[in-house]
Parts: sequence; C-alpha cells; structure tokens
Amino acid sequence: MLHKAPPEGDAPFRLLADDGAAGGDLPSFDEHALWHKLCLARAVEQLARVPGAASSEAALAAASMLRDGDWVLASPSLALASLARLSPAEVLAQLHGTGADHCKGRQAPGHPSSRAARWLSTSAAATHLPQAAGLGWAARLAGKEDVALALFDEEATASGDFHVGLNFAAVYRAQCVFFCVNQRRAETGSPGVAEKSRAYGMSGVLVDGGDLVAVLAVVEDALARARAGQGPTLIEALAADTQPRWRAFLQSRGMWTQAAEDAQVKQASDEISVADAAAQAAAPPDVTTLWQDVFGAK
Amino acid sequence: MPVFNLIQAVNDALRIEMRRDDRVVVLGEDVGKFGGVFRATAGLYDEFGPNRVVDTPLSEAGIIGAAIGLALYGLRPVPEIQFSDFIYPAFDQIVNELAKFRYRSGGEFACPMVIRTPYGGGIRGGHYHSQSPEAYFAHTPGIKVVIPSNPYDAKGLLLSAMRQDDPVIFMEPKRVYRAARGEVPDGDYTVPLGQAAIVRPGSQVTVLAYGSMVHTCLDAAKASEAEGFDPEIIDLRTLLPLDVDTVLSSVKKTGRAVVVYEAPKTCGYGAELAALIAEKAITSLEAPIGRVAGLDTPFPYTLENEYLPSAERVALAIREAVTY
Repeated sequence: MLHKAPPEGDAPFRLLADDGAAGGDLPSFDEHALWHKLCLARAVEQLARVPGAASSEAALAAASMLRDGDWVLASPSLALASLARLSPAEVLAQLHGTGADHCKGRQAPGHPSSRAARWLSTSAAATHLPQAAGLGWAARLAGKEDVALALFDEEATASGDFHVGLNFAAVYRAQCVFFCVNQRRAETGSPGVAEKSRAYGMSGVLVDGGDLVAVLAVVEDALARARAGQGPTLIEALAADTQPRWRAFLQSRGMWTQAAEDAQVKQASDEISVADAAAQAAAPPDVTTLWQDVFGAK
Repeated sequence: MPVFNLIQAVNDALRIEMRRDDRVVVLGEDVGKFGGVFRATAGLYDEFGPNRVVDTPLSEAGIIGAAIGLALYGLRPVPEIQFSDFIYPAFDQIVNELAKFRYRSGGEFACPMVIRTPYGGGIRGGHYHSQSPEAYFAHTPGIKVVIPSNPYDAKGLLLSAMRQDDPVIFMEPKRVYRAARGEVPDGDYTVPLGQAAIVRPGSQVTVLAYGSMVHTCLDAAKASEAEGFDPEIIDLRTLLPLDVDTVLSSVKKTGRAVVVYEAPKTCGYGAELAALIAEKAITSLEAPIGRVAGLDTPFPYTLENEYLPSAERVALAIREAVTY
C-alpha cells in the first residue's frame, strides 16, 4: 500500500489534521511503544541535558519502523533517535563513557553504537551515507530483505559524501532509506532536500516532520520499496513541533488523557534516572582497555 | 612451477580466494569487464560475474565508503584504487572510518577489507600517478600496510591479507609490475604478515627497503660488492605490523643501517625506521643511520629519475656507512 506518490511540488505530506484526525490510510504501528520511546528521549534531554529530543523525534519514529535485521547509521545531532532500538541503559552508558559502556568509553557523548541493535554512529555530517549504501547493497547481493536507514540532518547535503552515498545507492539499487531531518539551518542555495532525489534517479518524499504518523507512513512505504528491490528513497522531514498533533492523534484514538501522559512521562523519567545513575556509578573503563580493539585477534 | 610477473601473481591470488570464499567481492574503477587498467583483475568478471567483480562510479570515497558497508554486512570487499595518488578522496573514509570502526565500537564492528593500490614512480606518470603515500596509513592505528616486492610474496601476502579481519592497505609497486618475475607455486599458500625477508645476507651494513626499492637496493648491492662491501638487504614486506626483531637483530649484527624509500624524505616511513633503530640499537651503531629517499618536492614528471633513489645513491650511502 502506497500512502503517497513521490512528491511533485512543495507541499509536505501530512496525514494528521491539526485536531489529530487522520486524513488517509494509517501505517501499522504500536502507538504505546512509540509514545514511550518519545518520552524516553525527552527524559534524556531533560535529565542528562542532551539537546535534540525534539529534532530527533521524526528520526526516532522512522527507526521504530525497522525490523531486527535492518541497520541504522546516524548523525550525532539525531543521537536520541537511538532510543528506538537501544535500551536507556546502553544510551546513558555511552553518554557518560564509563565502564558500563560496552564501547569502552571510546567516543564522545552522542555516538551510541550497538552490534545487537545494528546501530552505528558517526561524528561527521555524511560519512555514513556511502556506508549505508554499501550495507543496503550488500543486503541486496545476499538476497535478504534487510534495509539500511541513514539518519542525518540538512547540513549533510553540503558534504561530498551526501552525493557519493546517494549516487552509489542508486547505481546498485541498494536497499536504503535516506532520512533527512531538515531543521532549515544549512547554508544552502537549494530550496529543499527531497527534490534532489530526482537527480539521483531515486524516489523522494517531502513529509511534515511535525506529523509523526505521516513520517511513519512514508517510511513504511520506503522500506517496502527497498525490500522489494525497487531501490532507495530520500525522505526529507521538515522539522516541526510534534507534540500537538501527536497528542491530538492519541486523543482521537481514545488513548490520551492528561493523566495518561503524566504517567508516561513519569515512567520514562524513572527509567532514565535509573539508567543515568547506574551509568554514572560505574567506574571508568580500565586503563588496559586503551590498547584493546585496535586490531582483531587474527 | 609457473613463472609469473607481479600482476599475474595478484590476479592468481584474487582468483584463488574468490573461488574459496564467496564473501570476497572485488570492486573499483574499470576492474570488471575491462579487467583493471593494469590487468590485475583480468578474467575475474567472466568467472565470477557482475555481482562479485563490480565496476564502480569514479569516486574513491564511494568505493571505500560502500566497501565499509559491504564489510559491516559480512562480505570481504577487496577494493582497487586505480593509482594510490587517487586514494586521497577516500582518505577520510579510510583514516576516520575504516581504521576506527573496531576501536570506536569497543570491538563490536570489524571491517575486514583489503585495499589494493598500485604506488610509486618510474613510469613517467607525473605526480598524479607516482606517489608513495604509505606513511599516512602506517601512521593510522587500525590499518595494516603491506608492500610486496616480488610475485611470490605478492600472492602469498595478498592471500594472508584477505584471510584476516583487519583493514589492509596493499600497495603494489607498479614500476616492477611486469619487470619483477619469478616462480610462483600453483594453488594455495600464504606469506604471513609481519615477517620481513633477508633477501641478501651480509655482514657490514643493514639496508632496509620495501616494494620497488628492494630491486634498487639489490642493484646497489652488486655495485657495493664490486667495491668490496658486504651489505645485508632486508625486504620489510609488511610495514605495519613491522618485523622489529629481524630489523634490530640485523642492525645489532652489522652495526650500521641505511633506510631506503621513495616517498619524500621528511616524515617518510624510513624516518620511523631510523627512529626505531636509534631508540633500540644505538649502542650497536658504528655510523650514522643513512637515509636514501625521494626529494622533499612534489613528484616530478620529466626529472623523475633524478627524484627517485637510484642504485648509485644507495651504493654511496652503503659506502659512507661502512667507511665512516
């Protein structure tokens, strides 16, 4: 089921009206699980003073649509999206870089990484885009349905790796979804990101990033295209406040009350507090770990 | 036993490993239907098809970046960078990404990959087709650097490189691609990484070289021999990991050392060798450590033979060391 054809023109795709009423076919997703993850991201932002929860929400929603075998490669500005696939304990441990971090404190905050979750972080704007192309290409070569989702913001479009990644993905019909959260901060002469897709010969979608249900819908479509061997998709989510329409949507489904939201926020806050305390209480990585993992065993 | 040149030996190693391990994927500019500008991948496309011998867009950052993705997924990419001078657009992907995936993920993500690339001067290629960038990569923790000088080692080292789990820069001395010929066993064998070879035993001075400079040093040794000197020539074969024991025990035996490399002299790999010898064997030295290297200039076109270390310059350094 396609929720929307690739965009022609400038109007971002929306599914929710301001009052939360859905104006089309809804994607299939677990409202409670996503609501909880969104609250976790807000709780990390508040408790650990990590910025970016609001801008990460569309990316978090996108990542929540994946299967276990899929991969995610993310820019640090969208690090809180990792709560879609990593536990609060893992995210907080990486944030503090203590011995609780299974990456041994090797990276600055905002670079969560997990083999089990197939989640990779970069510090650069777009170096992960060619890598995502390689992962999505490998999945196609292997005859698997796995998809690589690259999360980045509009600053990435200034980098050569943006072009390189999209070009390689298109050439090899890599099973990729390139998901750009456009916060409209980049120095650029271009009117948008999604429209660049046509130049690469891939599908492109412009979506209202303040409408999380619309984001889920276009990601669901893009994943389906990728899994079916129909090539990669470039999605541009225009950043906007997600909370009003998300609340209205939940209310329209009979799920939202102030009390229910308070309970969600409290539960998330408690989970993050526990994870934060545990991460901070752990000793630093042992000094002998400095020399580990430069090379493999054989 | 067949006699191969260095290109044929590389080609043989690739074919053997692709038959043995279906995770091996060769990719690069013109490596597929055309078989590579130096013919290193000739015939592989016909045998293994377009999904395993892949012509890529002309983007080195894309070749290496995508190869990282292939490796993360579980394949064994063997990308070719057509000339090592073209490797700089991929430098960020190699140095900041490929080299560090294992470390930055606490050992969770490995990127096994062998980047083959022809390097060095002497083919009238000018500075875009002649440079020797090995020191940049030897300076990058997380990458191994392998440079064979002859067909036997090229095949055995390449097979070893493709069977271990770390990124390797495999630099092929293109000046001797066809000139270096030798017997190469049929079928499978390996030359271990991290082991130097003493290619001419001697008693008076240790001469350290790799790649095409090994041949220059062997020519120099003939001239030195005629002068009555007895140099020991060591082919390092692997720059990282370096066979420190072989280097130091030779220097301790001869009491003299000359390092030879064709990259610019300043901060070249030979500078590290000189520092190592000074650090670990200075009390054995009877003469200053000699350095014969390329000039501290960009690689020239017309005057490349004046730029490159010659057998005469190496023989002079041998004489200076022994008669100090």
